[in-house]
Order: sequence, then structure tokens, then C-alpha cells
Amino acid sequence: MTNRDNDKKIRVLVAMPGLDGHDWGALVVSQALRDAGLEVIYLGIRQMPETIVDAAIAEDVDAIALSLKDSSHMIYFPKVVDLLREKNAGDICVIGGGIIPDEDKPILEKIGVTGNFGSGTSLKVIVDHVVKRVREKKTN
Amino acid sequence: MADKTKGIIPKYRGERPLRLDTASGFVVKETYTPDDIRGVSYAQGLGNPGEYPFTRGIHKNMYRDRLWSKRFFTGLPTMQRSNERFKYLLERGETGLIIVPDTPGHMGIDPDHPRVKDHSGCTGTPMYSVECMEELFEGISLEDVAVDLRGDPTFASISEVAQYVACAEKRGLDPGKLRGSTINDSIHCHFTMHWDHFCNPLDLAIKLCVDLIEYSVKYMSLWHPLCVAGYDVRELGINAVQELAFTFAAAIVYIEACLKRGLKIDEFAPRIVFALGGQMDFFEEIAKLRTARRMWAGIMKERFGAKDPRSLKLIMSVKTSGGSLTTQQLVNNITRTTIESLAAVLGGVQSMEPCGYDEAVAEPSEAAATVGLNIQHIIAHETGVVNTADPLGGSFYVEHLTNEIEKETYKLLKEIEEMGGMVAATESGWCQQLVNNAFLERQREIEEKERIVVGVNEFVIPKEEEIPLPISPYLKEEQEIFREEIQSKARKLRETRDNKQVRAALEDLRKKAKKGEDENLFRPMVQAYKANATMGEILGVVREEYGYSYDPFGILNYPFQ
Repeated sequence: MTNRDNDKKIRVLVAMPGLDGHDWGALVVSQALRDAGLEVIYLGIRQMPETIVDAAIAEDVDAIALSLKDSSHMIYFPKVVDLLREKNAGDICVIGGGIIPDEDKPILEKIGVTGNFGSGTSLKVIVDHVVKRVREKKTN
Repeated sequence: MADKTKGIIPKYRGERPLRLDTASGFVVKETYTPDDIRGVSYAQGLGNPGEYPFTRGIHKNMYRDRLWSKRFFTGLPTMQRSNERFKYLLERGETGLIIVPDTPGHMGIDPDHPRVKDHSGCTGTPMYSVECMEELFEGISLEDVAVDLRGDPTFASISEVAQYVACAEKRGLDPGKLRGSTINDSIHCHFTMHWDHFCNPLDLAIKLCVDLIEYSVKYMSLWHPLCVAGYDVRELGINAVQELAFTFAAAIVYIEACLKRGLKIDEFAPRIVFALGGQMDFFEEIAKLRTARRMWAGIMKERFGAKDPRSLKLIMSVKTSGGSLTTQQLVNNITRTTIESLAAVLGGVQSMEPCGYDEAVAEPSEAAATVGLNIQHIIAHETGVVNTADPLGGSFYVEHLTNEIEKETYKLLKEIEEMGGMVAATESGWCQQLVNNAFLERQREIEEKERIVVGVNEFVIPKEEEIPLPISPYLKEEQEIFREEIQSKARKLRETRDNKQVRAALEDLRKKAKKGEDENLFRPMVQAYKANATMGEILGVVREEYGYSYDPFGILNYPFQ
């Protein structure tokens, strides 16, 4: 599944909240999304949830992809979701990734953070998920 | 559909290797002969173990006299748990401790800083005051253990050693009796972990690196103040040649800085260690270690004019590759780590640290630590490989690889030197670009199945059929409680300590820092820790005197205006 099926390119903001500087997963996923025809805005590391959400709104993205490896995902991922809602931008999907323990995945899914892919996940699977999620949101 | 007369046909019948090159891209022939290593004489290119150029090992008897230091890393979220883990590991046969600081600790920031409070205990142990060290080493005899303080950036390294020495002196111990090591290598952090200008400006980092080396040369003769790290960069997908070239290029920066300070090469070169990675290409990794020794001996002798034979002997430690491990089928990680550990031993290292099988998914469990130590015990006592030095010496393939890696490494090293050296190569973004490209290429190879990783893109089995292994429980609530505790601990320290003494010690540090780059700040840091100053305060003062903000985030100010 690629973005080429639609006229308008899907726009994704990729960011790493908090302190974690291991951005390799985010780098690889950004490249894969670009290769599949999506537009990627790479915000980088050490971002605050406020900055991520403001940038996502300013850039008019369809999705935010968050990556974390230092176990602070249960602090930052929900914060991003809450801020999006506060700013009436709840239509922006949030997709997670990094080192996410299995027991946290259903909790994150419930608040709308899906994917939560770990290392070793096929990039095709990740790209397909992003595209599917955005399309589903758009048709709802 | 099975043929009823024949039955099931093996799925991989006629299986062949997918690739015929080494992990670093050296083409591998079907066989190697004496012709492939003609031109490198035994005396000049190899030497006996313990003899220049030390290709075959830095000691004559190698492991017959003493085995490598067996380690397994510790970096649990609380000082108390890390202390318990130390005791557990020492019982299970660990001969050298490793302690990894948490993310704020690596960055030189205290746990009660508003921006980092959610990260205390993440991926390591908080180490911000002498109290932390006291708790960490409670009930452990500091004279009898070697401790690797594993903060990569120089800021973290010098801070940790100062805390450690403060703790030791409070127990009445002379720093000269302390055995251990620190990475103290900031350069690679700029393009591996993005601990860059933000919290780790290179000019100040190199100055502090030299401070630690200079102090240790005079007062801590059993300490290894510099372990140049090739490990982290290798983890990101670069090859063995690049790993060695980057490590040597970084080492050269620090060596030249020490010489500029006025230290003599033979004073500090014997104390330098290379901390390299241990990857899966078995023979290439063995050859890499042999190459490193030969190159070091040559560079020390020819380039730096070192005379003391100890300066020419490269001490090496290997950490096996975390990046080679998979989240699928954790049990396979034990196999991988074993192969990588065996290569390190056959390569003649002085210290070794295997990964835990759970490294990719959780904090290291006791079970994984026990397995990691047992791998080393089994290699040491059941295989016989330790009974002779450099058992693969003379292998046509291994000697060929040793030569080839050396040739290519010197070429790349020259390229880096022509760019202006490792600092220039880092600041221009060249290193970052190279590493990014290598990482992406490695991922692409796996995605496109140009490189097989068992359990990931081939030999995949359903998750439910995986052999379950013990993993540390995910202590989410405990972690939240701990984060609250460590912050109130830090606040309490600030409130209950004698702030007059803290101020005096910090002002003394500031006064010394104002004197210029050559003024050694290690001793004033120790005194500040003894007065109960915190890491953030100590490093903040030094940062200010070097023209940087007290707080990398620009939020906090020096509290004793």
C-alpha cells in the first residue's frame, strides 16, 4: 500500500519527545515513509509535546509518528494525545514506536496511539499501518 | 503437496550462503593459502605474543596467567537495586563491575531538573551526588573491585570518577588504590546519541578529558582514564574498518590534547583502552582485534615516539553487539552472544562483556546476567581456547583479513586526517552522514532480504511458539514511585546540606576554572562532591566559565548568585 493511490500526499510529522537521543528507528521509518511517497516532516529529538503538537498543526499533517526507547512513552504519548484534543486537532492520528512493552500497547491503543512497533518490524508493515490509519480517519 | 512415495522435502534443501563477503564487505575466496599472506614476515608483522607489534597478544602467556575480566553491565533504575545486582554478579563470577548512568546522568543534569524528572532511572542508574555512590557501593570493598563507570561523554565520566573518589576518600581510601575505568570519550556521542553541543560541547569535553587523564596519571595509577569507544558507532551499522578508523582518529585527538597539556606519551599511553564492539562475523572480528593491536603499536612507536613497551600494548575490551540481537526468539540471542564472546576471547581481549538476551526488550534480568557470565565461564573452562595465546595465528584466512583490515583502516584514517582530524570530521557532519547512511543501508539489506537475520526475515516462527525466557517484570508503578523519591531525595539534599560549604566549594571550582584550560579541575570537583554539591551544579559552574549556559536547557540558574 502506498500513498500513490490518492492525489493528496499524506503528511507525517516524525518526532522524539523527551530526552532520548536514539533516533535511528525514527530515521529509518522516515526514510521508508518518504520512499512510499508520503511527505515527512522530521522534527527530531528532545521535543516537548507542546512543540510537537504546535508543529503538527502548523504543518497541517495527517499523522504524528512518535518514537521512544527509554520507557517514558506512557508519559509522553498520552500527553501528545491530550494536547491534540485540547487544541481541537484530534483528527491528527498518533502512531507510536520504539521499545514499548506489550502490556502498554492495549492502553495506548485505547487512547488512540496505534502501531507501537518495535525493532525488527518490517518497514512495509509500518508504512501500511500509517497509510491505513490516515485513510480510515479521513473516511470517518 | 507431499509426494506419497517420497514424503516431505526439506524446505531448505540445497541451501547455500546468501552472501560471500564479510560483514564489512571484504570479498571472501573459496580458500586461502600461504600465497595470500606472502609479504608479511612473522617477526615484523606478527611477533610472538607479548612482543612488538603485539598482533598476537599483549602478554606472552595471555590467559594462562590470567583470564580476561569477566563483566556484565549493571544499570538498574535505583542505586539500591544496582547495589544488590553488583553483589549478585560478584557472587556469580563477575570480576569487574560496570555501572551505567541514567539518561540525565549521561547529560550532566540533576534528577530534579524540571525537564528531566520523567527520565530518572531510564536506561541506567542516577549518579548525581556522593550519596548516590555511597548507596551504590554500600557493602562493597572499593579496594578489591575494578569498576567501569560507563558514562560516555567526558562530562559524565569526570563527574562520576569525582563522585567515586569522593566516596572512597570519605571511607579513608587513597585514590591510588582504586581500580577502574571510564570511557571519557565525547566525540562519538555527537553522532551516535546526539549528546552534542547541547550538553556536551567538544572544546570543554576534551579539556575535561585531559583533566581526568592528567589527574589519574599522577594519583590513580590503577585507573584507566580513557576507554575510546568504537562500540557505539559500530552498533549503528558501520563496518569494522570504519569502527577502527573512528576509534583511532578519536584516540589521536585525545593523545594530542594530552601532549599539548605537557604530559609525556609514556606517562599516559599505557593507561588507554579501546572499547570495541563484538559483532557476528566471527573471523573478521578476531582479525579486527589483531589489527587494532598491530596498528596501535605502530602508531605509538612511529607517530608518537613512545619508548615504554607498555605504551605500545593496546588494552582492549569488547562489548558484544546489542544491535545484532533480535526481539524475535530471544533464545537465539544467547547463541549470538556466545559466538561474539568466543571471537573476543580468540581475539585476545583483556575485558569482556556480553549482552543480555533481553537487551532489546527490558532491563537486564538476573537470568540474563547469569547466562552472560556463564557464557564466559564455559569458554574459559570447558573449551581449551585459553590454553595458548592467539590460537588462530598463522591461519591463512585470519592473517589475510588482519592485513586487509589494516590496509583499509590506514586509508580511512588518512582520509579523516586530511579532513582535519576527528573533531573536524564530526563538526562538519561527515561522521553523522556516514553513520546515517550505514544504518539505513543495513536496514534496507534486512528489509530486502539481502542479509539474513534468523527469526526476522528468515526462519521466522509464530510468536506463540517462541521459547519463553525470564524477562524482568515491567515495574511501571514502582518506577513512578522511584521517580518521585529521587526528586525528593535531591531536593532534601539541597535543603539539609551545609549550603555555605557547598557555595565555598563551588566558588573554589569556579576560581580554578577561570584560570584557563590547563588548570586541572578534577580535585576541586571532588571537594565539591564531598561538600554535597550536585553534578548539575558542579558541571554548571564549569560550563559557565567556558561561556556556556549553566543549564543546557537554559531553565535553571546557578543557585548561589
